[in-house]
Amino acid sequence: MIELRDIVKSYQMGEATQTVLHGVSLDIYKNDLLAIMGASGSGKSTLMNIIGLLDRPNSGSYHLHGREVSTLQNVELAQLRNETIGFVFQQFFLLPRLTAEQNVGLPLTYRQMSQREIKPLVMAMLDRVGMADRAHHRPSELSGGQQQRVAIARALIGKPALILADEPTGALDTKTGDEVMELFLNLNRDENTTVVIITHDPDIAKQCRRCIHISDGNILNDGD
Amino acid sequence: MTVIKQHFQQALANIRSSKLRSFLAMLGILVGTAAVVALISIGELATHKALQQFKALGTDLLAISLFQTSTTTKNTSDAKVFSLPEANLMSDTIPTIKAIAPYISLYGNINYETHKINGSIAGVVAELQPVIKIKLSKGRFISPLDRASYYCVVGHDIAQDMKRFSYKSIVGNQILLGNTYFTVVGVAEKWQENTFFNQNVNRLVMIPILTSKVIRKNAQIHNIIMRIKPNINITHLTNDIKAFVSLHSPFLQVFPRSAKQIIESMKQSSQIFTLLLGFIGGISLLVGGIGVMNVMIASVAERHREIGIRMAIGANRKDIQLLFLTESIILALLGGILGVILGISTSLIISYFVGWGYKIFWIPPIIGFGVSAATGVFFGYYPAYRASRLDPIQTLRYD
Ligand SMILES: Nc1ncnc2c1ncn2[C@@H]1O[C@H](COP(=O)(O)OP(=O)(O)O)[C@@H](O)[C@H]1O
Ligand SMILES: [Mg+2]
Repeated sequence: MIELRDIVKSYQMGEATQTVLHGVSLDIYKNDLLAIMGASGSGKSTLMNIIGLLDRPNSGSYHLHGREVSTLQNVELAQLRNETIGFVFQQFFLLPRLTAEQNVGLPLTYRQMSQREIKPLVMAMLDRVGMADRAHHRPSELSGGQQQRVAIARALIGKPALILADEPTGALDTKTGDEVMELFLNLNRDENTTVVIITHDPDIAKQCRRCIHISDGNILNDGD
Repeated sequence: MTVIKQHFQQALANIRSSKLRSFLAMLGILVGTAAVVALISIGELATHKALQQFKALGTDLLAISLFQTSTTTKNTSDAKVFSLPEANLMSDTIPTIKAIAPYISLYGNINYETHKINGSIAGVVAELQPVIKIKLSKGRFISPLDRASYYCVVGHDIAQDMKRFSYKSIVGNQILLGNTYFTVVGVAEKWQENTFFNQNVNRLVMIPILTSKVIRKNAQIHNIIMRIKPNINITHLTNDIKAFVSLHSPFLQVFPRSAKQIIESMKQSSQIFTLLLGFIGGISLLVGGIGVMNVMIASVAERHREIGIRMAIGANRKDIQLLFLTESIILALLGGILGVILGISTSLIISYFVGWGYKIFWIPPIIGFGVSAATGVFFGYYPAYRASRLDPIQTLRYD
């Protein structure tokens, strides 16, 4: 489903150029459940941003569903993100002024769907993550675990082929982290959604079918 | 559509969440729009009022005043004065004059049944009635056959006063003008006041022009009002008149006033007025617009992360731009709506006190809304553009 070849990403830091990814190659298959591990600053998030079409590599090729995407226009990338990718972030990143319901529905509004079409889908999704009774709460009125559930609902609402989660349990205690993890596992098992999880936590990684390690912008070993 | 609706709701929510800042930005737009709306409305009202005067009378009017040019001819003999036959001759000579009505303003006491009545007296000719459109409620107007007789026609307000002092019928009764009794032969209806004729007919007692000397010994014709053919060249006509007057009374100078010229100059000065005031309003709007820009730049800066999140879930640059543009337009339009309301009320209050009556014009509020919305777009464009160019990666980093 995803084919990364020799992806190089470097950042200009004033005079110096810092290369964050040194020619990363990686395949992600349909229905994969992949953990990406690595020390802080090793380039995990950078890699995820490139996979998630938020960032462009300096060189290398990226095929998504067999299509070269590193040369697409911004508008096309935005549409691809909207339709095929769901992001989950360590810090949830819900919009503070919107209710849980509005947050979850947001990706669909960018698909020109009407409020009437969106509402039932959102309520079903909130129900699925166990947040139906909090639909009208704002993020500040929810606990960390609850916010992350809402964020996951937002990532799932568009029925994306790929979920990218950047340390989704990093800001949660072990128990709520496990509950969140449970959601991903179910999703991968029941809906054949491809899930990529970046994590520090070996316990989380163990639950994934595949695990890769990144160190200083290089992939060390492809778990299996 | 959903996106627009959402943007709209979010813009409102955002404006609400920073009330003070939004209000300050709106204030500039409000003042600017109110200024534009009020001032244009007042200009329109003034012109409207002025034009209304002439609606009753028509615009085919020309008034001339005749005065001596120099002090050397102070002791004028009758020959140097413009006389009634000369006026009639002038009307016959110049074909574009349809009717001519010389008149003499006289000042003297008016007494009726031993009560004093406020008003003026004028020596008039029969032609005055059609020229300035006097309608009679009773009796008849001054006629050429009256020659120098002691008949008079009283204005509406004078007749009202007379009724209060006596139950006798006004027509046929006598009124004391100066030291002479005149018999009332007619009563005028209420007359629409008009600055073109020097006297207010409602407070005027009109006597035959030839009788003027009875009230004032050296009464002379200084004013002539005439109805002229429509759509003629006024300058040509006044030149003809000047030539005629200088031929017959070389020491008299002609000062013409035509209804058309008055309206033209009124329109012009109201245009200049409108432009000037529009300029002032424009400056306020500029200040308001910069306020809006400020608020929007602050709003964009505060919401970097929101922009990144929206981009991550599929918003493209246009969506982001539209989000902020909606907000700035709403901000400006809120100011605009309040400004239009304030502007209209101000113009109504002013016109009420000036006594213009009121009439709401559609153009100023439309201009007000248009201008404020345009301000929102214009000054919101740059912040919105900047927002749309943000790199989502930068806005989402937290380590
Ligand atoms: N936008 C950026 N500009 C400059 N340097 C960056 C940027 N994003 C990441 N980096 C640098 O790249 C390296 C890898 O960052 P990141 O991918 O976030 O690591 P991880 O997620 O594994 O902790 C870090 O040294 C970081 O400072
Ligand atoms: Mg990271």
